[in-house]
Amino acid sequence: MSKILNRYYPCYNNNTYYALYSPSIQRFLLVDHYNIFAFFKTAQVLSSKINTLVVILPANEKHPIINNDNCLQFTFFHTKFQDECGGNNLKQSPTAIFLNSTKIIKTIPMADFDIEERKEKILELQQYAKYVNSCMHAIMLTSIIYQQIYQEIEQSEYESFYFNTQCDPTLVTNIMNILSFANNIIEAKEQIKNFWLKLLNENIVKKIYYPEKLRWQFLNHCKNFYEILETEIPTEIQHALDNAKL
Amino acid sequence: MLNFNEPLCHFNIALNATTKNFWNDIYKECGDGGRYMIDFARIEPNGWISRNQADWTLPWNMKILDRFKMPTYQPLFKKTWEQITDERALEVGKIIQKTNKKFCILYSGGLDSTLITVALLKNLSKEELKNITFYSSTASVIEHPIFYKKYIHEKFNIINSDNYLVEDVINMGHTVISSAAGDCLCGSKNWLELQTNFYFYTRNLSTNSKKNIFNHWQKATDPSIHYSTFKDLIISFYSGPDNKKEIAEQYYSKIVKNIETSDVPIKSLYDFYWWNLFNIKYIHLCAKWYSVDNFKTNFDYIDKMMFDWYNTEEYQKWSMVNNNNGEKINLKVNLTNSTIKWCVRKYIRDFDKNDWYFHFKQKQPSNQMQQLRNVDHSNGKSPMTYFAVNQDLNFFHITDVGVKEYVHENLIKFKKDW
Repeated sequence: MSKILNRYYPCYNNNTYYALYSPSIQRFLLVDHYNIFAFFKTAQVLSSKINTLVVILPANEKHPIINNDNCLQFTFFHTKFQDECGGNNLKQSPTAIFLNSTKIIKTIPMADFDIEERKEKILELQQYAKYVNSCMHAIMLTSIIYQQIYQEIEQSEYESFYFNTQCDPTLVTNIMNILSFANNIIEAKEQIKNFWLKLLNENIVKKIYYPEKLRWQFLNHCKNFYEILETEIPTEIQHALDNAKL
Repeated sequence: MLNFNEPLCHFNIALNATTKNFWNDIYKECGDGGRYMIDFARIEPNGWISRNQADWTLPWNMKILDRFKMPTYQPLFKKTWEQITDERALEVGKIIQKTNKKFCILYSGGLDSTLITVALLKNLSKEELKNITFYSSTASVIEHPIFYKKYIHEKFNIINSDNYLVEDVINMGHTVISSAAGDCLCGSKNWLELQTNFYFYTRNLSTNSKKNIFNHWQKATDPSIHYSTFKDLIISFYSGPDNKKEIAEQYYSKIVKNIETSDVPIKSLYDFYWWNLFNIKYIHLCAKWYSVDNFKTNFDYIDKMMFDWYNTEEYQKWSMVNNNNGEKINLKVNLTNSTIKWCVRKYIRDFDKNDWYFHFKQKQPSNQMQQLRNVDHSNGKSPMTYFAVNQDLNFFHITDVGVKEYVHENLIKFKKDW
């Protein structure tokens, strides 16, 4: 593999990491050390509420290290790099950039915080962004770990690159849909719970083949998903799994 | 056959890979005025026209179409933004009742076209709304998905803007509702660029100048601080990537002369940037859609089939008396990207209750569909070579016979008088 990839991914001897920059509030909103593709999905989901840029940050002495506790204090010295990515203005949909033509600076406190309503909304946005990012990591990772449970989705995906056909919604796009249109974390949690219940109903209750095996796999998938979110499996899902027809 | 004796209604000197040599050849023979016109186009496309009586000389004979003339300044104009907007929607309703005309909103999902949609949803009856169609694409959905899903999706007919030109929509029998003049009322791109990259534009200034600007920066929307306090910052802004300070100084002097010979009060730094749009760039922004993306229409069609939502006397009069008072920008957070067009945000939020859009929507380019066009859309002409249009809506491209001679002759004669 090309060593150029070391610039873009965190790997041995290289602490490259990622941050979401919001042009709208001119501050960094969120930091991620794991996976740019899940992080980019987070940015896509958030675009229903705010436009952001995924910034690939080299962790070196030239730039201050930012994290999720302090990132709202940091901004770019300038945003002239926007021209480099093809337009004077950013679009609503995110793009990824490698930080090389500007620097990150710690700046004055946000004027937005002088208005209580705006301050609350920005802090709520940051919480929502963290939640979305956890969900995207959880669903993208567990989708490939438990890929074999979802045969229809797998088949649709294979057909899409074998025969250039349209792909059906996947677990990832279903979760993205929920998070794009939910107004807040409470709404999102409720809809994600309902999504799992529907999935269990369609796969365990209605299917006839080896339901006991499926139940075990679903239980593990759900557990794994909610572990990554650092929350308990909702009792309704646990209940549904316990009572699934065997 | 192009008629070079007719005045132009719109022009644009744009240096790009296709036109660079054309303009560079002419540049060599120009005097100070002609050189300024081309030099400024190296910083930003130069199609700026003053639409009132104030001083603003250009190399060619121009005609300001009646639809673009600036109304008289009325300091006591009292109508509110909401009132004017509701009345504009009712005007559409009356036309529908009277003539059963079909309207099509050029919808991008941005603030201006969303406001139009909200005004119509709020003020028109269910029956009247049946005459409304949307010209949009997936890019419009991405820009405001929550609103689109709730109010437009599967409720209205959609014409895909990726596949059709605006003139096709007109040919289908729709009167198009455009929001082209929306940016000019509240100020937009350059103002946002200045405050987004404030540190960048002050980086090469002297220590004293920096100190002066930093001291006054928080008062950029305060009419008691005259825009000339920020002269060095403005010049730095217009110097472009190659730091062409002398060209920026010439532009500054030209626009100051325009301001000083006009009867509209321009005081704060915000006013200065607003005036750039409201007077100098207004025609360019309004003419953009037909000068670069529609090639077979004519002004007669445009007058009859274009409902230019914001291009009214009342909106413009409102705009002239509502700078620096919190209507256009939230004054407590005046130097951020997402409080501009405050009146528009408030009007939309009162209807859809979407706090996310209200607080965080940012200005974005709304001509993305032009990037999807193929050459067969443009009737054999590339928008890259466009130079001007006259009052018969004849397009002048730099590749057309006689255009080079016309441009050459006028630029050589043009002298600086500011």
